[in-house]
Amino acid sequence: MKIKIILIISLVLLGVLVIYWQSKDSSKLVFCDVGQGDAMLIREGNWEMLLDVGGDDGKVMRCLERHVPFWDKTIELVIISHWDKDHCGGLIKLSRYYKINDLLANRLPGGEYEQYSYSKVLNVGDVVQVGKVRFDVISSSIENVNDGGEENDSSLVGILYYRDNKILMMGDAGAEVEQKLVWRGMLKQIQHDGGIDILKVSHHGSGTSTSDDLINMVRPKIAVVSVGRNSYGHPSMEVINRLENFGVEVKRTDKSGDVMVN
Amino acid sequence: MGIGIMLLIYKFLDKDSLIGVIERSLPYREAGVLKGMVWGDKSGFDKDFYNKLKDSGLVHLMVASGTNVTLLASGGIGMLAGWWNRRWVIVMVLVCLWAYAGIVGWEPPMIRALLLISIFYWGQLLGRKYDLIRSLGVTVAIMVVIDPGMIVSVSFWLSLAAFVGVVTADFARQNMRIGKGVTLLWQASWSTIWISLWVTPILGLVFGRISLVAPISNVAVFWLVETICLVGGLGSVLGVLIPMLGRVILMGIYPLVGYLVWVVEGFGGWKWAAIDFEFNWLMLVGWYLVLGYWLIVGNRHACSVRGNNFAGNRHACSLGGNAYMRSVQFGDMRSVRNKKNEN
Repeated sequence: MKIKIILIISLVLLGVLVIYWQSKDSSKLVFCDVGQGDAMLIREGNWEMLLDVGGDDGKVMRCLERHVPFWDKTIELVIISHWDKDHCGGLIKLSRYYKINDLLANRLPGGEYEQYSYSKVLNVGDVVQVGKVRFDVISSSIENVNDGGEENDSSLVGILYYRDNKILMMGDAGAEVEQKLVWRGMLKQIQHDGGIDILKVSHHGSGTSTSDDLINMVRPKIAVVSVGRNSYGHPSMEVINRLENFGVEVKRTDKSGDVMVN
Repeated sequence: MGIGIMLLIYKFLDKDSLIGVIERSLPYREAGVLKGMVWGDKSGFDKDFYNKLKDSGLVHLMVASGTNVTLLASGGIGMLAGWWNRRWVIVMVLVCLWAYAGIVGWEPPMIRALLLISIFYWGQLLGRKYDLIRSLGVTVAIMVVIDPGMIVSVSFWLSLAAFVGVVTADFARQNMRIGKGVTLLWQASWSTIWISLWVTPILGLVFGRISLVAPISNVAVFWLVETICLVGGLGSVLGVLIPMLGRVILMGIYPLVGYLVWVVEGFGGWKWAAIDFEFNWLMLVGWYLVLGYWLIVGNRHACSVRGNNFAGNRHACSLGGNAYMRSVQFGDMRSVRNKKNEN
């Protein structure tokens, strides 16, 4: 009995050390390894934001487990780029395990995600700013769906400013959206400022997106491909080569696991 | 009044609310393990983790199973009997366990395990002299009469094997000759090894797969099962009524559950340790004959060589016919000592 008590107390003390260790590393931006899906986490102390939440297999929960202290059960802000299962499927589990303070999305959901119709809709030109994090919406569903685009093209596309990083979040937007962004001058300011730091490659590296024009205009230093095992041939080697030809460092979640940005 | 309040509380304790308290208190994987162990909910296991559970030989802990209930019953009664009247403790623990079965959703394996435990402890409540083998035989017979289908139920035999393992672990340990240096470690791990020895052949016969590291992984975590189940159950029940209190209690056992997850991840990663091995009926019978021999004949021999360890009474070395021995079986050493002083 004595041994048991000693062992239990030792484990509890070890737990306290883990808590201390977890609370030390309090600022981070992580492209979560959620398999074939998207999820990006920003943590600033006790404040967390997720941009997409991956599929319904709960992998985003594992990412939170790794990067958020276990006692913090509130996600302050969740943004859903579009209502495809590999981007929003994790919401059901997420909302069971965590309290979500604010939910923003490209449009109001229907079907199995109807319970999240309390979400607020973001439109082109909207700016979400919380502390050191700013998200400028440059493309959204209303515009693209009305133009006869596909569901993927209804993705929220935006520029995320976090600390010294400029990150272009492409969702699943296809070549047509990219062309509109390029030709309508939505990325002119980015080009003028010397490009972006990180490109979250659209649609898991699909060959139908990440065109030469886009790469040339935004000139990313790093490209992150959020991808897992799939039957679609993602990521397309054509896209990877295209990025590498521009001297962009390509990071893949299927190879490296969570991709962390300092 | 008290009973009225208890019934009212029970009415509001549905499985979803209880599980919800755990989910909102612990990280995903730890919450999944605790939900499985305490409330039999498997929704927190992804395929990868479930395979690791199987390969590490710990999957049997992740359901509100006969093994967990048996450990809770014997541990709870053993612990509380030191402070209160043993009969009342047995009644109280059995009532709590049946209420627990109701919350979990009257799962057949749990009902079987509880029937087994209830009939067995009922014999103790009657206060008559009996022996372990006879009472187990009567228990099994009653259960088979209640539901003849149990005779072909794997979970029934698993529950029975685990139960026999739990209640005979102390007997079996007396037969071991061990050096002083390893005594404490041996005592801590013996029950687990003994229970594993009883359960393994059934798992081998049914699933055709045996984990070579199961004895080690079980020793590494078994001592925590009782504490995790008790505190986890208490935390989630209180959490339905006072959410913050439940959270604090559950966070308190986070390191223990985290350690359990760590063991599963570690041992489950050793793919070579899970081998396909099919027990046949002959091997099964042979295995249990050896265990039975160890328990009965070996025990008599140990008594004749070493004399009586506990009660200063020759009968105490046999498997039956003695009130002291019954207490020893369930870990109630304090009552044994009291009896000894009375003598």
